[in-house]
Amino acid sequence: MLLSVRGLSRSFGGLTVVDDVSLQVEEGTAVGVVGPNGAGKTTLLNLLDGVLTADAGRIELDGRDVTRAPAAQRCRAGVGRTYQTPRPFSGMTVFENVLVGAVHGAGLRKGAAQRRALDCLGRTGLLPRANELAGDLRLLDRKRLELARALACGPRLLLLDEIAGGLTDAELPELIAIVREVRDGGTAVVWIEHIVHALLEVADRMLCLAQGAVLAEGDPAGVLADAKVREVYLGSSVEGLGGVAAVPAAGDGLPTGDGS
Amino acid sequence: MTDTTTPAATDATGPVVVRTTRASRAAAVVALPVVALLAALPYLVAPNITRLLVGLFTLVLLATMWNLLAGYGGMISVGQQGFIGIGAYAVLVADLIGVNPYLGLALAAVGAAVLALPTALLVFRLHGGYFAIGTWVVAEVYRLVTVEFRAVGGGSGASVTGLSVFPPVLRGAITYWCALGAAVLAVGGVYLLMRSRLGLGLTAIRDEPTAADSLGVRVRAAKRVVFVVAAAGCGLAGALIAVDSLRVQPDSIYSVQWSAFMIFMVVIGGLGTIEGPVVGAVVFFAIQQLLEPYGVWYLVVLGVVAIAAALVARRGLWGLLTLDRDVRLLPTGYRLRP
Repeated sequence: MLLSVRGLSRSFGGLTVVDDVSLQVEEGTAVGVVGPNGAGKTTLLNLLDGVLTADAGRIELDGRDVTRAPAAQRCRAGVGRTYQTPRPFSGMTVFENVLVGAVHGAGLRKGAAQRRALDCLGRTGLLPRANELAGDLRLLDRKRLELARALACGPRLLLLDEIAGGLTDAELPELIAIVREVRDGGTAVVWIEHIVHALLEVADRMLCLAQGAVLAEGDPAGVLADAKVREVYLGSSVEGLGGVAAVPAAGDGLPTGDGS
Repeated sequence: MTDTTTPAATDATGPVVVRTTRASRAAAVVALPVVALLAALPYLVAPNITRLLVGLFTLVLLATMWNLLAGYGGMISVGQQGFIGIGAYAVLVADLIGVNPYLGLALAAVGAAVLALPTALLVFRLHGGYFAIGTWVVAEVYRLVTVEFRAVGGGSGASVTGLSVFPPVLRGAITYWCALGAAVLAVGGVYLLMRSRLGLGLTAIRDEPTAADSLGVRVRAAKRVVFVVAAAGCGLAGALIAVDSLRVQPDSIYSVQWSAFMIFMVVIGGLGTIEGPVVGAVVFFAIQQLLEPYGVWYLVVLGVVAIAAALVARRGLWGLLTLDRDVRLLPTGYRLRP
């Protein structure tokens, strides 16, 4: 098991944001994480990535306890992540941004790091923007840059935080293809996404969080068909589920309608 | 959904990574003869000219170190005079124990670097304005501890006596070469540092510390290296001031005005560029020399220049000189050529 999480909890003040979450992810598989806004999805990712430290619980990466390890150390141990709100190195070029991941995250040397960075730019379609300052990019390219940087670290576990948010339907297949390719290459993927039909293209399993706790977990279609899941989703104003009816592959056993 | 693979960027005819610019290649051609000419100056001009240039080179060294700290490391320190003082006193100590004061220069750099390690442990617990004031407090502590030692003159300071064995002209020339070497080493060293993997990490930290952390950059270790290198450079500058003036006086060598001067030079010249602090040092030096006879007017002009630069040259004089076209004589980045 590449990632093994047991009883993970984190509170801010009196508010428990992640509540006793357990999760197992194998190499070459993808877990989709859904849940209404404020369910603790991003906090869970921050705990896995090391930007935040858990109050309780245990995180093992490849059998090694990394619960207290700082983010940089986890990255070098194989954890790559993207931020929901992109955090580019604004004063550096797109190529330099990606090179940071290749040099520091993957620990590659000069030539190898540059080839890795070029490869990741190519895969995410950012090559034409390579010399632009990252701070000048528009949102879609910033999202691509998040992914390219995370990939440059050569992750064994890739954590994606709403990487598809804001993308058009025409842009989605390209992104899905990249994530699938990464997963098929043996990387474990944990993907938070509101655009559920995108998730269904890749996710082998699905986890639904509500109020910090695991509401349902298992086969994606099964989780989305779950009455409790339908209730938390349909009770909130989340876009993704409205769109799933339009995607044939995602049509079975899913809540339909526009959420009203 | 078909598994469309994105176009490969790794084929043989792919883009090439370049790290030089036309300006940098020209600068490289010009730099060597210029440094050679500067090195030959003691044979060509009167000693009072080279004496003046020792002051300029020391300012270049100081500005370059403060830029490394603030412009690249994101650490706004107003306590570098602590390390300047330590460096100057290292020369006095070397003198006292019979070591050649010029060897004391190396001792000063090493001593300041060693002292920077525990200092970093302390001040790295602080951030932003607290870090700035904290470094100042530490510098004051250095001064207060220093004046407790009678052997180095207590509160009134002491003179460097070991250099009297050299004839004045030779002494002036050696000091000049040391100062020139230190300035070239500082500018060249920061250039190489910023081109290295550490430099890449530092620039990332400056722009987005959280993301840098997530991408595997050892944020704390990188900042510690910068803090130690900047301390060594300032220690060396303090030692140069001591061997040049032959006198160390605690209140002036530990004075916070050094920090003010460093900030002035870097901000005027251009923060976060390698060329900017050098330009800033030249401007500051010129103002200092031209207005020296006018007493307090010198500070008034400094203030006016600082305000003017803040208004019309937001990216410093280097940005103004290059018309904000990002011309780099010493480029640290990467460009892709298709």
